Amino acid sequence: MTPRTDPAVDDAPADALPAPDPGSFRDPLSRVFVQDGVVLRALSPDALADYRAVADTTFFQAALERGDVVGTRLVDEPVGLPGEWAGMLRHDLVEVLNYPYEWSFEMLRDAARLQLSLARGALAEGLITKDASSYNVQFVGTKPVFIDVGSFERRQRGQPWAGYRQFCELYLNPLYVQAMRDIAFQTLLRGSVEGISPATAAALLRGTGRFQKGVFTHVRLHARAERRYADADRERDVRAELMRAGFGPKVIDAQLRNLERAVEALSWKQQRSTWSDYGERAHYSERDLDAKQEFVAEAVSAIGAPDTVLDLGANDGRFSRLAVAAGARSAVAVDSDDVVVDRLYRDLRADGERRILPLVLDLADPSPAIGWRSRERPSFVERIRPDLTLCLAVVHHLALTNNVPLDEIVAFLADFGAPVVVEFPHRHDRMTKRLLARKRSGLFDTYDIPAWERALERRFVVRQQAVLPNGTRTLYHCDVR
Amino acid sequence: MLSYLDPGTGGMIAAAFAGGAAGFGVLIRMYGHRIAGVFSKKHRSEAAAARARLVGDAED
Repeated sequence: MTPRTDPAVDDAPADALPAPDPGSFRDPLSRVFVQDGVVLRALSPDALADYRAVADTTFFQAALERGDVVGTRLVDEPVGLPGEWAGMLRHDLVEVLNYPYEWSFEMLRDAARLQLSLARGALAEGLITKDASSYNVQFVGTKPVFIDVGSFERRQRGQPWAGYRQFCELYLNPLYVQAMRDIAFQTLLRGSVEGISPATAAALLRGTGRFQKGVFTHVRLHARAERRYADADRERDVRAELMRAGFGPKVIDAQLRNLERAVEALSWKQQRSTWSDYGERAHYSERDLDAKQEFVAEAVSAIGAPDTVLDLGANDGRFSRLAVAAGARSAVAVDSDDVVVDRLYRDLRADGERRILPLVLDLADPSPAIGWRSRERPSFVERIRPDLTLCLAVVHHLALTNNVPLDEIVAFLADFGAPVVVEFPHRHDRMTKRLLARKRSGLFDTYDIPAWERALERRFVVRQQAVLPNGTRTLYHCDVR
Repeated sequence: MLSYLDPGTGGMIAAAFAGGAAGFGVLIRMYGHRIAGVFSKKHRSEAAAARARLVGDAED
């Protein structure tokens, strides 16, 4: 490894050179800098040589053309960045960063497929990926894109695939846990930026999966070997012996193929969740739905061609689809139900609709900032700057199920800093009545139109409002104050 | 010479198993080297050289 001057850390004064992206420090050979929508990757001499090697390969060029790897080009004249670097790459910007704990099962599986196919492609041409983190993949709409070009390196003789453990922790084990135990992996990945360790996965899967492909090798044996050799480095350097015995490309390719087969063999019995049938919109009349769609379409066209529409509580994605049809360049459809998001993702993928990004997100508990200094992976709200926020059929749930005060709900909407279309179901709405019936009477007397409008007007200016034909819900289109 | 992620001994053994038949060959070769090292000085010095390449001075 070539010694390198440490770049200034991100506590540098604001008028100084751009600060490195807080999520890019793990590999010391390169750092990413983002400023004003420009993404630069600074490379050490070794990393530059690795990049030149990968840029020459056919698999990499093909992956770039397919959009499997983020658009990347070498910058001729490196601009001033803190630290001493041998070269610099410029990447296309990913507008809305998204993380594995916001993906659904099938999204994580597609990301795993991409990671493995790139690793195999690299291997066939004398390279390898030095890691295998699911954070190296971003979804741009429904398309998984590999963003960590610094991950490719020239393979050393005899060296094993260093990404194996990470692949298990951040791809395979979460998928196993979800498919075999129906444990939502999102909360586990959000709980640890390192993912699910072999030992934890083995404990979670104990007593199951005798016949599930790969569980014995990648989970049980993996956990056992780690436990057995936890202290082996002192008594005998088995690692040196293993490397001398040689991990050739054949061994690694067999390993990658085994992982591919394990990923393909997974199936998750998706249970009908509370919300799965919401898409049928049983409690909306046709007239209400039409009026609502018209209102939303108008709000979208009022902006012209918004870059990003954020659809909170998107469910089957009807309004996200409507938004892109009405001229939005992209939409982010979030919902707390991972089964619903998974279905939406598969539907969009089948339709070839790439402009909508579905994400699992609980509005009452959105993704916090996690990782090193709580900065490595920023919170959801920090990552998205929509041009319009849709919040349809959500307010009564937040207010009456999660007990969030109305002015807090409005503050949350204002956090996104964009105009909003929000729906307020009145007290005598059927769904609201059902939610209120579960509460002690008098407890939610403050849930009414005047209180809602007072809260709304503190943070927003109402441009337009309309009561739906049924008379039990009001839509508001407002601008931030 | 390793990447920034250290696979660890257990992880490397698991990786060999994950490589199926080809991976098993790695383990067989490793044990072959070990047995040869018991009888041959040349093998022992080669093993020491391999260790040194990986971790610097192995006798630390």
